[in-house]
Amino acid sequence: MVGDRWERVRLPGGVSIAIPSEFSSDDAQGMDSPVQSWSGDRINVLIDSSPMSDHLDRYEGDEEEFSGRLARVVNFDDAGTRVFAVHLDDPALTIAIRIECSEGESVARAILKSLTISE
Amino acid sequence: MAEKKSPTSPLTAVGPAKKGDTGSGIENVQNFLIRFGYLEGGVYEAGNLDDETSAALAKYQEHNTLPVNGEFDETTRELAITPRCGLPDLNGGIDFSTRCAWTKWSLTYRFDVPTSDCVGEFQAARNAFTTWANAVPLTFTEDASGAVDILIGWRPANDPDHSMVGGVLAHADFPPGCSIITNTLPKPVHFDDSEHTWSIGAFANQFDVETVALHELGHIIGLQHSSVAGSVMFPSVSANFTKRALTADDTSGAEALYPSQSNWRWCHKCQGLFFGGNPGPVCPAGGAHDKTGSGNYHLAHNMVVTPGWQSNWRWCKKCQGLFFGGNPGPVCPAGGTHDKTGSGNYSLIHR
Repeated sequence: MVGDRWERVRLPGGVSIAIPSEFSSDDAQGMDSPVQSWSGDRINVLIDSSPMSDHLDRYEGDEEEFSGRLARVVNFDDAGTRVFAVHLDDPALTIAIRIECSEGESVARAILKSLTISE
Repeated sequence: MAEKKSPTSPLTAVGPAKKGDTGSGIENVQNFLIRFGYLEGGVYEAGNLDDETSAALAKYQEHNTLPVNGEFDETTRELAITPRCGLPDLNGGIDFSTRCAWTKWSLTYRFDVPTSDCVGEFQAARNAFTTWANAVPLTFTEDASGAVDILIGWRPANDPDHSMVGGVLAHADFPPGCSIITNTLPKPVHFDDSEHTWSIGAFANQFDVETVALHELGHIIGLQHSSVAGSVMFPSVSANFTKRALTADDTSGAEALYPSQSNWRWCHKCQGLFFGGNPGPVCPAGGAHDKTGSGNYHLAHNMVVTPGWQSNWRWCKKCQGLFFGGNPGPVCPAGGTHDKTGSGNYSLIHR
């Protein structure tokens, strides 16, 4: 589904994630927060950088540590689309990865796993 | 092992205090609330447990999962004198991790600066208010003068209260208690009038006012973004697009913030309130309650403890009436005492 080459992209607040090189950046318009979006084959990555972002607290999930900071990590079904998501309180942002095929799950997990925060 | 108390805390000697109480001890409480981000300097009367101080105490209690009453009670004092990190809990009084509801359910709004991009932008925003009002037991009343809760207008992108430069369409704020922009009223709903073109309806390279207003008013009532695609509270939007109806995801979020039950009715025979959804309501005036001419009343239902609200109002399964469950000996018109078995916990505004 994706090749071996991945690129690291920078997000607000010193956050970065790695995404497959063949993903293309989308022209996403944030309502009231900066959003960034990349898409690949049946997979979309959306970053919402805002204290108003989805805290994901209504979904079953786990607290995981990224670069020493706790984040909420969940996955849930949204009308047939699987969503893997992580929310950080500081810096406030939510990354939601939507996959439309089961092969995308390992890609989504790898993207979330790549999340790092620099001081 | 018992937790250590700070031996030097100036709060140690401060006794219980409620709204309206005065004294030097209150000033110590206020200094504590300022230090930890709950009270803004200069907005309160020093030494008086005034409305602002009581609101700050309520915020402190809520943040620390204490019973919320806005008073400096024994429970609050015990926690306040426990040694703790010196960093503020709240950033400028703002708790980024929570969303919250208004403690009043009747809100007012006003428009100020229009946009020159289109005609009908105010009506579009009014429509968005109506859409939310149909989903939750909140009322929104337009008030052309006087203090209002929400102020709507179009601003330059470099809006001083929250910059919209660089791509966002608009901004709003959460309710008091979980604000991210301002702790004072009115709460803003500001549209970027510099970098985007506004329309009524879907047009190329333009954004529909009602679509964006509906999203911003979702924040105003306390909703954060939703990761559910297609929801009004989804964080992104397209030009040439309209989304003017709430989805199940939006309404479930709003109902969680403002839990209520409808179909409570006024009985014109006894003037009492009873639940109209079950058979056999017994009226103390004889026979069954009669809801002829009644409106459809919504009661706050199983809400969290909220200042200004009184809980423990109960439904009686025998007569279908509403009664206060906190006192002994409630007399039921169906005979004996009221029976709250199976009742929710209803709350009424109590000033």
